[in-house]
Amino acid sequence: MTCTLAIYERNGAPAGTATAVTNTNLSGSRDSPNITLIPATDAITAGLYSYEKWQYFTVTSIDAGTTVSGLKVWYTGTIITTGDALNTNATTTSWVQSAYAQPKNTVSTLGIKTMPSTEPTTANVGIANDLTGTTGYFSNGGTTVSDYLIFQISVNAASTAGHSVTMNYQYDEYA
Amino acid sequence: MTDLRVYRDDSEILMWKWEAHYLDGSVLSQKDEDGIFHFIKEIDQSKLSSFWMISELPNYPPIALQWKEGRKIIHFYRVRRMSIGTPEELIYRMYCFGYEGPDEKVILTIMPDGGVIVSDEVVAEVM
Repeated sequence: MTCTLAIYERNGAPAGTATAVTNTNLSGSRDSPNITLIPATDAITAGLYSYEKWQYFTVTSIDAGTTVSGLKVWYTGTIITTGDALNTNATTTSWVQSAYAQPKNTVSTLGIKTMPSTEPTTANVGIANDLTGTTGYFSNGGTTVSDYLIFQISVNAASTAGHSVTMNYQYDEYA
Repeated sequence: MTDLRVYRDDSEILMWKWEAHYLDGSVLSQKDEDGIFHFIKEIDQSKLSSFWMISELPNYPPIALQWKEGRKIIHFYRVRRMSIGTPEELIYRMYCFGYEGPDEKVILTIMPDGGVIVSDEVVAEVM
């Protein structure tokens, strides 16, 4: 009655390359996973955007009879400067599954909602285009990959270099 | 039809396991004496007297829900992962259980330190 989940990120032109996430650092110049930030080259110019992150949850093992749903993502911390925006496609209503497209560092057309800064009351990342867990859930022999979570940050001239926030990922396991 | 049985190492210590106590005095435990792990769907909720969460670790008192006819058990694990890739990276599991009745839904969440958060919501009336 256990399962193991991992978070992966896809980068590059479709079909892209998927890599297990060990950090979610956002760069203005690199569409790469697990970036060790170099301020001189990764900084995001005021008024511009980071490269989008395209991430997904996936089960690497799950027992028969166990299901997983209720995917949530949010950030904590109060250090995004006024005028900055951490935008996403994550939403608790009217979820729309996105087909993978090469991440870009111009304004995202898919990540247009504000990333929540507190735990959402209900799931905000879909599985099989479903938020409720009714038709979309992970199971042994069934779906094992979530829809894409997309997020991007934009900064303004007042932003303070080196600030960070904590990304939180959550799921519910039923057995 | 094939019954699903999950066997585990008996030495595995469960932070919290459930027990279904029936009106006739019998008990179905999530982890029974033969090392079989049971599923929530195996509980006959029509014959339930109470639903318990019991820790195999010392110093955590059991928590019981008295049962009433018409309730449906809620039980799941909520797993949270924070600060990926940092020295502060944290993965923790919360044990959530409760019931959904005709008019309300109540969920008790056992936090990693053993504290319990109770939340409830009114089930929307179907017009």
